[in-house]
Amino acid sequence: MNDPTVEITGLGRRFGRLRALDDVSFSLDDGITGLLGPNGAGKTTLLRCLATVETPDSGRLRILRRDPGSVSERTEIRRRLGYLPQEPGFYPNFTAYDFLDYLAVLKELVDDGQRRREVRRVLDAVDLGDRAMTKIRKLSGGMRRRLALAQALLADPQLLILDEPTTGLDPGQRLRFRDLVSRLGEDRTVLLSTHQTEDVAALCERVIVMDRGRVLFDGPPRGLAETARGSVWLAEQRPAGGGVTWRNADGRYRTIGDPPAGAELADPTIEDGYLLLVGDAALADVA
Amino acid sequence: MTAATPDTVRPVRRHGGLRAAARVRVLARIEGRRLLARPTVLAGAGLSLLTMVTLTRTTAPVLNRDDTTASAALLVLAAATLLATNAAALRSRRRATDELLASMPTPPRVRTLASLCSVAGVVALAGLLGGAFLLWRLAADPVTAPDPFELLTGPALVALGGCLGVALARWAPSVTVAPVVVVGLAALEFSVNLLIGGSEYGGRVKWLAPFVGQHGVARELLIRPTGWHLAYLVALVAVLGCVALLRHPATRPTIATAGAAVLVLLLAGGAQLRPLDPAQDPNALAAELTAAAAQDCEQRDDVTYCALPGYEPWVDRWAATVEPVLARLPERARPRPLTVRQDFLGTRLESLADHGGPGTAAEPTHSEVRPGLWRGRNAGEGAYQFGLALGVAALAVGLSPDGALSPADALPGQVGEGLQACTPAGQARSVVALWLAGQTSERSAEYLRNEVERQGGTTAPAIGTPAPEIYFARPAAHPIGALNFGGWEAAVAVQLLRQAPDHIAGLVDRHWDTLSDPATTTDEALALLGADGPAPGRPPADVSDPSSTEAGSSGTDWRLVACP
Repeated sequence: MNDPTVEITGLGRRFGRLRALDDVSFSLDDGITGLLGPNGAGKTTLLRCLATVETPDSGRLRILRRDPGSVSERTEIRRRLGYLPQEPGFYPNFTAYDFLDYLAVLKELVDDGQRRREVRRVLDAVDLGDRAMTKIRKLSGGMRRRLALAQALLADPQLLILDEPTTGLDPGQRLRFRDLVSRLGEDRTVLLSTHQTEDVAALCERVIVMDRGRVLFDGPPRGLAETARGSVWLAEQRPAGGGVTWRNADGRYRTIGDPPAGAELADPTIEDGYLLLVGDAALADVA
Repeated sequence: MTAATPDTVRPVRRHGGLRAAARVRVLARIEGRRLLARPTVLAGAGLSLLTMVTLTRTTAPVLNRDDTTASAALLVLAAATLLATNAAALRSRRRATDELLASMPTPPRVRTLASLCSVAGVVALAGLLGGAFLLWRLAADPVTAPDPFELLTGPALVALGGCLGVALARWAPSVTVAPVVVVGLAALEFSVNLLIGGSEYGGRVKWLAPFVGQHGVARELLIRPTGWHLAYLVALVAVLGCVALLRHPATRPTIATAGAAVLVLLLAGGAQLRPLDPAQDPNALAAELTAAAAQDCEQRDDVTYCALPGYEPWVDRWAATVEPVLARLPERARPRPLTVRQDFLGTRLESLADHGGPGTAAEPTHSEVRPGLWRGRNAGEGAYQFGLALGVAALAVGLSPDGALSPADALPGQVGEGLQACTPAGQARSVVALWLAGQTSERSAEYLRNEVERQGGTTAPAIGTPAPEIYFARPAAHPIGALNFGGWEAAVAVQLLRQAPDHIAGLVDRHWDTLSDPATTTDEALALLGADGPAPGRPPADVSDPSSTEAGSSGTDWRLVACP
């Protein structure tokens, strides 16, 4: 069996007294993995470590079978890495083409013809081919997000790390994004951090749930949903007391936790499993 | 969004050094293009060009002065380049792309190196601007020759600005730092070139500043270590580039380059600071160059024209101005012998005097007119022709330097205690001299008309003459630089210029002895020359009795007398 693309063992990272990552361990192979967790769960810190822009304090990390602690191996990792940060930043006075062209050079595409084709390819891949010569300051938020995704695709990376890539995309763009990422995941490793459980359900073969720097769940999406089996209820009346409750479109109240009076069991979803796992933190996010 | 197509490109793998060089080259090209398109750089280039043109538009090309002017003007582009490269090098910080760029295989060092190399485009632009300016000047009958080192100084200043901008971005990554540095450098240049400019011969330490001007002193009298200064600037560029690169982990080439650059910097910087050899003393040079034997003199009719080396093409221009004056003079009144001898007037020789020098070359004789090292052109041509012609005309009507202040002393604020000056105001011969000068050419006449119109109401002369005066641009024609003519006489001369020159010349010929007599008044000149139309307004003060003791503008007592 081949070595995993990413191998994380006992990873830790602190910022002062805050423990952003606490003994995180898992490995990743080809395919799409979703990373769920409330704000402050440590998702972004973990992705930054995987993108080699953050150095962990403890633990062992191997990416693409290389040690990011070594300068030369880190460079090799970066050559094979596509990273979409949560806030990628743009150069407003660059055109979409120029921005990608610049980043393509930083990805070592120095041949002009090759680089031109590659920039065109990724622009088309995110449906921005007709906006290539538009200044970034004139692009909408969704277009900028797609442009950021396009840069992550430059030079055909073996490992794609996407931090909340669907933020700002309209429903149609999200569907096309899913199509693109699902194809990309066929022959490479994609780690996708998101707040959208629907994206995870639609795309990921595996989901990792984090909270307070620790991994709470690591398994298939269906497994995450199953963790909530027996804890999801539908009731006609809003139940009194605690727990996570919301009103469905059919007017019934869905509750995760202890059964309200007169409630009946419901089939759990990924979202139910996620909410059951992270509980209060997820509610705080909603608030 | 569509799926990735199979023709995906993978990075080309090559040897590390080659790959880095290729990335630097491509990035530098991209950054260079963007730099050239930045409004700051475009505005800087435009302003530099405008400065070059503005500073030289009214003077004829003197290439050993124009080369420095080009470099001075390129300081604007250098400042703009500093700001632009700083902004470009801070782009990732300003736009929050540091995290994204940190995930790329290209290290920040390569980006810094590319930013430094991108300055090459603006340096080339500076070279083009300087070259275009030089071509423009070459097309207008230039004299002397430019110093190639001086010409290269401008582009080197631009390179310096660009590299400083990158170094600042790496070591002081804030958008407020570069503008502050530009202001500081501007203050330094202002101090070096304007405040301590008069101390041209007092010390060489100013050569450590990026740009040192000529301070209005003729290049012929200056020992400018232009070659060493260029080497100093180039070394400074290299040092700043290395400083920028040393923000990242040091590499052997960077350390080696930095070491070599510092060595050259010390060597060239030290060479610039070497004190002048006594043989290179500007006063000695001035005397040597203005000595009759050193000048290339040419006899034309009764006039001898002596030009300083390199200025020989101006003899034709001088003759074209002097001959029309002589042609309108009665044969008996033509000054003989007459020599037009070029010297260093108008080049702030007073600064030489400040440092123990003679202040000027050999004292002028009664038969010499001395043009300086500049010649008017375009809008400045009339003033120049008028000044030179007035010098000849003044000699013809008997206005001699006797009793007049030397040109340097005549400058407001420099009148010495107990000095004596003379004024031809109120004398008929000054009307004749002004008319003779004005009729030399249409431009000369136009200049006189404009000055009368502009200064006609002057009532507060700078050197305290008792009557309104008219000041002509320092004509660089000794001794007239010391004389300020009466405004009324100038107005009368303008009125005479409206009449047929042959008619006035005939009257001047007929009444020459009277008109050239110091005792003949302007009123009498009006009667003799029959000025057409009403006489111009008489000034409020009585200029016929100018002898009095007055306080000069400097507060020093001095005596004003009628010119003998």
